[in-house]
Amino acid sequence: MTSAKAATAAAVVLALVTACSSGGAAEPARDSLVWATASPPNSLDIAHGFNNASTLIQSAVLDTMLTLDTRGAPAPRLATEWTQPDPATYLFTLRKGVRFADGTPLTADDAAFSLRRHLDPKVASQAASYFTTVKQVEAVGADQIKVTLKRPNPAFLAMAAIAWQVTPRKLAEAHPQDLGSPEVGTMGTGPFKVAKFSLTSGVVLERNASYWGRPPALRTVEFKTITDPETLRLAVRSGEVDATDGLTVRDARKWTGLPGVRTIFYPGNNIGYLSLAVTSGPLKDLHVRRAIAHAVNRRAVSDLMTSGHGAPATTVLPAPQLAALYGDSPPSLPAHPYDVQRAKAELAMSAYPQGFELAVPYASTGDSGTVMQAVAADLAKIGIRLTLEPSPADQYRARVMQHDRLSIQYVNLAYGTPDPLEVLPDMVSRAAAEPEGFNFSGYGTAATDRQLDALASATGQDRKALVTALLTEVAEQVPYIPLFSTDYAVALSEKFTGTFTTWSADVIASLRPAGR
Amino acid sequence: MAVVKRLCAAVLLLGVLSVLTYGLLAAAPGGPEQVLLGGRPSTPETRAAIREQYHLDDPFPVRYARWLGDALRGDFGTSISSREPVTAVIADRLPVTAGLAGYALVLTVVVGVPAGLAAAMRRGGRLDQGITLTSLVALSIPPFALSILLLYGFAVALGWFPVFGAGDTPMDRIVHLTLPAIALATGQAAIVVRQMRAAALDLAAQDFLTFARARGLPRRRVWVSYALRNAALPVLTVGGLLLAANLTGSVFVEQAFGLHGLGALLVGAVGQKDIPVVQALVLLGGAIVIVVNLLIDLAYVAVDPRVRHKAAAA
Repeated sequence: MTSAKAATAAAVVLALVTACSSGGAAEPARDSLVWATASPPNSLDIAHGFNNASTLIQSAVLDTMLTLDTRGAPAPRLATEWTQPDPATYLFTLRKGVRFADGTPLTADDAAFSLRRHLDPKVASQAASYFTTVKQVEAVGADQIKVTLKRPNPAFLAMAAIAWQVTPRKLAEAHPQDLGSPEVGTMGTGPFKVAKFSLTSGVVLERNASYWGRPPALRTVEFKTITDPETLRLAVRSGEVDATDGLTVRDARKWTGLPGVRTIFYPGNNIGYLSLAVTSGPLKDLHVRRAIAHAVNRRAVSDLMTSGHGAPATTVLPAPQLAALYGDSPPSLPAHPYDVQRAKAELAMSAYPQGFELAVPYASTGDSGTVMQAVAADLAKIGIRLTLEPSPADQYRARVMQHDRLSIQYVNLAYGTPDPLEVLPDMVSRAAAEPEGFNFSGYGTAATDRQLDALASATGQDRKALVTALLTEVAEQVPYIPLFSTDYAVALSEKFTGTFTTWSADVIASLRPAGR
Repeated sequence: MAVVKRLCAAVLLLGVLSVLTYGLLAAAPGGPEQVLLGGRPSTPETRAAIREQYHLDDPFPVRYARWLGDALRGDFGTSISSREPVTAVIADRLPVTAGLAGYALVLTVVVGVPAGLAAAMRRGGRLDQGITLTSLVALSIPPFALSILLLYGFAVALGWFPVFGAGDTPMDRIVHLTLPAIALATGQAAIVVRQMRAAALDLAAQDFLTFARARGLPRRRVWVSYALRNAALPVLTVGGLLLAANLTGSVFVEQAFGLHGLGALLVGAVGQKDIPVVQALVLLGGAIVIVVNLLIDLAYVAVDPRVRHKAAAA
């Protein structure tokens, strides 16, 4: 029920149209806007700036070869079309007449190099893990690019839609490490070009006059960074900032009442979950894990952490990914509803009927402490006593990434694509259970690896069946307890409007004066 | 001779500082890989390339020696998070912090010195009580709380000042830095008031002041020419230390006003294990303290003839 609701919500496009609410003297429509981020953009190249603040700006300046439509399906952008001569080969046809912002024509060679560079260890690209299956990228003729994969990978298009940003080869080749830094800058074919990039005073984008698509409504967009949440709110309230994505939904109540400001929520492609280290100790016992799953009140944790702008999670895949894969008919998976009696019954069947004590480390900054305290209180009711051990965020992160003394970890991850292949291998493959991997439960067998391999090249109904099988196994074996997903939030001055969806990459280009 | 000795001490101090900082950062868990990988899943090849590029597998002394060799040649390396030369990163932010520190110091002196002197002149009177009480209150308000109060009052409710940022043109910069400078200067002015008042009171009983008064000199002349100059030494010391503190540690105020200064940079860089940036900032901080102390000593010589004569006699 809940997941169906979330699925519908994910498909909703929040196009805020017209409604120029105030009927007073008409102010001339502004064609410049100030957008504030909570953390500074560090690079205008996804290879070194794969984070919210940076990619937001990148997507306004750099075109990707393809994009995602509102349902999360691949759609043309710089590539007008593509074919798949065999399952492991893609042939992209480049849009004609496209020029970079400095006037040089875009070539197939530029496009091919822009993907190939992510495979170069010298670039040390943050997007490299998206393209591990890419074997070869080459320009074919004047306007075609051939991508050969090591093995078929249906997730490739979705990953390319996020990270295959196209820059001139000459520029990217000369700056493998510092493309997109304030000194080197970047060059793209997108709706805006960079007029200024400074780490202190922010970024200024100007409309790109030679853009191939529909010109954006705004002439300039200025990006500022305000790290203090209260200062950010005051800046929006005073009108110095027109828009921000720097608010957290837990503070939503403070924002929704601001005069002249609209706060927009839309489903986020993220999931917060508990990871249970299944390889040793009490958590090795399946009954213990099921007892914990029954004992944690997800609805309460979800409400606590999202103030109602989110939803309890039913499975380890984020709701928008479920919706992209299954549409409106998600599979029914085994569930462990909140039920203290059943939790006690499960624990009674385990090797620890009287409960046990467990040391649980968590990062003392951020939300982890709040979640873990709620979980500890829930588990205390069935006799599982958690000793919470806070440690500084970087220390905690280093320890977790080394898979050192894992027990119950709270993890909250955001994803870029609608493809479950971005999530599942990290959660249940044996490779990811090694240090530096994201499988903190250590769960995984030769059988799950085989299923993942099959999933990696499956399409259509097979794909759905394989994902369903894996999700069923995870739900039964409980290496993870999904907790909640959090909506994304944007506060926007009523003078402007824009289109915000889970998958839209061109947020900045969609901004326009209200009423247009 | 004294200059050489002082220089040696300064170099030694900076050397010890750099070893300590480098060592502490190296000993802390985690490394720059997490920043470079952006907290995302990574491939073993990428991790190996990063370890090689940043020489993370070399033993600590080798890594430190490499950094020191480059630093001595004036190359402080490249920031790990922004991939800009460290010198450029710092040069970008120094004007903001220096402007804020200078502005705050001017406010501190302009308000603190006369107020302290006035309190001493009217010792025990209403004015003295008022000034002492005000300074006690000012001293008790933490700068970050005052920042929010100032923002609500003067930036949002009255709309006289901008909420955040440092401004681009010089005039713009002054307008933008006014509220942060007030937030920073309030507590410091209170310290100067109390220092000034105490120093001036010590003097009040001195023979030369009694004699000046006996000569029938006007009260203003007595206090400004005789007392102010004699009370200047302790105030200079405090003022110099406050300047050094403002240049290196106005993190909370910078944060509250969305200023991208050195304090915010240092906090961010430590969190991201951006060793080149942290090293350069710590050295800069050390150098600032050394230079400010030198300036204080020079000011002693200029202000107080006794110091000058003693130095000449030695």
